Amino acid sequence: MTDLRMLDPAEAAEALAGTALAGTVVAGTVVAGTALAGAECAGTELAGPGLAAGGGAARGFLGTDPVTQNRALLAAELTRMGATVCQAGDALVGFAHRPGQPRQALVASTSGRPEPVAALLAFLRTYHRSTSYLALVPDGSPVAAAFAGCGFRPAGVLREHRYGAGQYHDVLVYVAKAAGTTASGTTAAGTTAAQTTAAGTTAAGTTGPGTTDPGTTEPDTANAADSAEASRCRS
Amino acid sequence: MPIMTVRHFTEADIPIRTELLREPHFQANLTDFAVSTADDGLVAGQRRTIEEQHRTKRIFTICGPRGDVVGFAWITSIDWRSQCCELSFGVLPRYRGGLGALAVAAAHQYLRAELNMRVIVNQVLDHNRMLHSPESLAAHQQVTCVRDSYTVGQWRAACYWTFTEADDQARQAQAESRRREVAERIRSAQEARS
Repeated sequence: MTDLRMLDPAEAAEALAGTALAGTVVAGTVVAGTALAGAECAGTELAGPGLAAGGGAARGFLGTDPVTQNRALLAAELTRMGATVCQAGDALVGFAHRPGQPRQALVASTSGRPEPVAALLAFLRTYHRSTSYLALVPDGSPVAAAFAGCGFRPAGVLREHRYGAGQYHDVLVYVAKAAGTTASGTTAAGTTAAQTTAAGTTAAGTTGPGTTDPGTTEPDTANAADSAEASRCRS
Repeated sequence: MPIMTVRHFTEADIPIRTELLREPHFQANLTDFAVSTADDGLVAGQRRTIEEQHRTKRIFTICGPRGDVVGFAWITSIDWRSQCCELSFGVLPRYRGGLGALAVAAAHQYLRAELNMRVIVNQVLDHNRMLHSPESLAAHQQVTCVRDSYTVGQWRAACYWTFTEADDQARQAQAESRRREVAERIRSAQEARS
């Protein structure tokens, strides 16, 4: 299982930020410099196949974009949305809970491999009692493979939702539901992240993008309990 | 190998830009507020831009082929909804004359391709010959604003013009046409030799 190491917003911004901005090169050559190119991040070298190779994979991570946002702004945005970013091997994964449905997590990764995402889902299910997951992935991003490998299903497309490199791009909406989720929202003991699946029980594909709520097939009482719990945590 | 790259302005760049703000030509051609501002004030102002002023002002560092800092570009009067901003430049003295035009092109490309700016407003004080000859300035300017700025003891008129998507497309078409022309000339010369 991939270990997760929590980063504070400044560390996360540092890790997401690139040293050069994409699409800014005269003479027709484009530098894909959106990811950290071997720089130090909290004592960890994020070189090689990680972020540096990820290139544009950091763009759109939890809605942020290191090409258009500097580190201070990335950190501010992550803080504003209450996001948590973790180092997972050579990748970054992150999540933010939706205020209206705290048991559903918006998740993101910079890697196309499923293992970091699987580790994140296991963490969310175990420590946050998350019952469903939502991922917004730029069309064509290698990161889509990571979510597909963890049982996420495409739920819709946000047409021309994102702008970059001189044009608008589609963003794909992926959803998954934690396996073994019961009516009370608890998950079955021993369920692994690899067993996380979107099969059968979600509203995937039946509602429009942006309004898709993969957890709405759960009884309302579960959400009410979640809200009460979240309120207690905040107070 | 890229010729110019644009990256975010960072704290590490502050000393270089502060030095530029104190440079005589910069003060005459852009603004001389640094004359009456202490170092601490200049540093604090630039740090505030990095950390807080994302919606109203952004500074970018323009780098040369080897990553060396060539100068800075900054956008102000940002209207995100209308996709319009004003673009300013400061090129370090040792790079003036050679790389200035490429730096301008790199900044324009970034603003258009990544920040989705449709209209870029340029302003040059009319005595400033750093990036534009008098002929070039006359050809570009759409509005002249007399007594626009007061720098180094003199009132300066400013020339304003916009650079739109249509302008950008025309510029690209012109560059492509020029490239084809040169390529054709080289091909013809090679065929004549063989």
